[in-house]
Amino acid sequence: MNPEDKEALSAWIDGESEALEERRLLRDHDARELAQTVARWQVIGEVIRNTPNSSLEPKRRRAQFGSIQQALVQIQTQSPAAENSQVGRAHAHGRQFRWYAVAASLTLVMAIGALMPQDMPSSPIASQSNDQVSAEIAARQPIFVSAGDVSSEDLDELSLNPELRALDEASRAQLRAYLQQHDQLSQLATQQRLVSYPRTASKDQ
Amino acid sequence: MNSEELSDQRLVQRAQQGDNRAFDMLVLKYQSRMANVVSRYIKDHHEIADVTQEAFVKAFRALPNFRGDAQFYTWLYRIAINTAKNFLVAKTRRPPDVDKDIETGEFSDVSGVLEAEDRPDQLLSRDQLQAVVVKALADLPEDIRTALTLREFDGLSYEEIASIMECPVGTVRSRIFRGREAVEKKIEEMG
Repeated sequence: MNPEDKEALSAWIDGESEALEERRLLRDHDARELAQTVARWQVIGEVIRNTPNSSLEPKRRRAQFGSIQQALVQIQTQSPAAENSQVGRAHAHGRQFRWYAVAASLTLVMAIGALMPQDMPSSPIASQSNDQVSAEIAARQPIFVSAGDVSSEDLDELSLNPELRALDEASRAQLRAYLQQHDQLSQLATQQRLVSYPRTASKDQ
Repeated sequence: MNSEELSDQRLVQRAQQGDNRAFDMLVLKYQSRMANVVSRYIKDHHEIADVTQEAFVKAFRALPNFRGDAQFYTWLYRIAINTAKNFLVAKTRRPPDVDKDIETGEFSDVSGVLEAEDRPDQLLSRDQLQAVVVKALADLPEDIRTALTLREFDGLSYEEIASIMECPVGTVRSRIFRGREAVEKKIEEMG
């Protein structure tokens, strides 16, 4: 490695290199080639900070870097089917949580509707639609999900996977919006008992 | 976002686009820090290495989902801690590492066997390494040692060091590099 690149590497480990230098380092050098130098520089830093990482001397660091690289290569060469099944599992989780949210929102809306004073005449169309929606949801997922039904793996997945988390948050926000809307409509004492739900309504149509 | 975060972000983006060399660079950069994080939970050196590796593998798998809401290292740090904790939980579920000698009927604690790196010769080499680095640092010219110490010990940015030492940022960068190179040569001589 020429001194210019080595200086760029030194700046890079400090997070002070330029984008162009990084690209050049990536293009011209393999990380394995840089591992020895970086490991030694890290030892220098640790000695200065008086926090030597006793388990990882330069040689061992290099060896460990090699084994991490090997493990990563193994993952990449794994069958695409395994990767796909993993992606599929994540999507399935997403669908599951989406339906839990939908089921929970509808259950709550129905419960609020049932608790309202019965002096107002109920719309036959609304109750019919209500029955259809309930039947459809019941056919797809259990409406009540106890905490025990959600495994810690699911929760881990939810907390680690930002996509699922975003989905969960979006569903919660949607539920809040529906409840708020329902509350407002109830206060106005309109004839409307159920808030129409776009997804199921479009299916009904 | 500081320059280090920007640098990581660039590499993360490249890795997300399928450039594995970029992820290798991130491993190179954070391998030591990750091992340090893991060593707060796990004491066995082999296990530290295994858990650190597992954490990087998890990070690699989860990389497509990393959206940069947090700093890359913070994200990596969380993965390392979770992996270490999961490892400890799994370990408590495993039977103890104790073998019974059929002949004598006595128990021997396998985990009590000295780790290879705890052997006296290895401990000596670790101490020697530290001594070589300390000596090499002491031998550095004052301006180079100051720049390197301000960076490594105080964690200052090049710009801050330049301001303290009243010199251009490029000079700071060069001094830090020269310092590292000089000490590295001494380590190399050690073998």
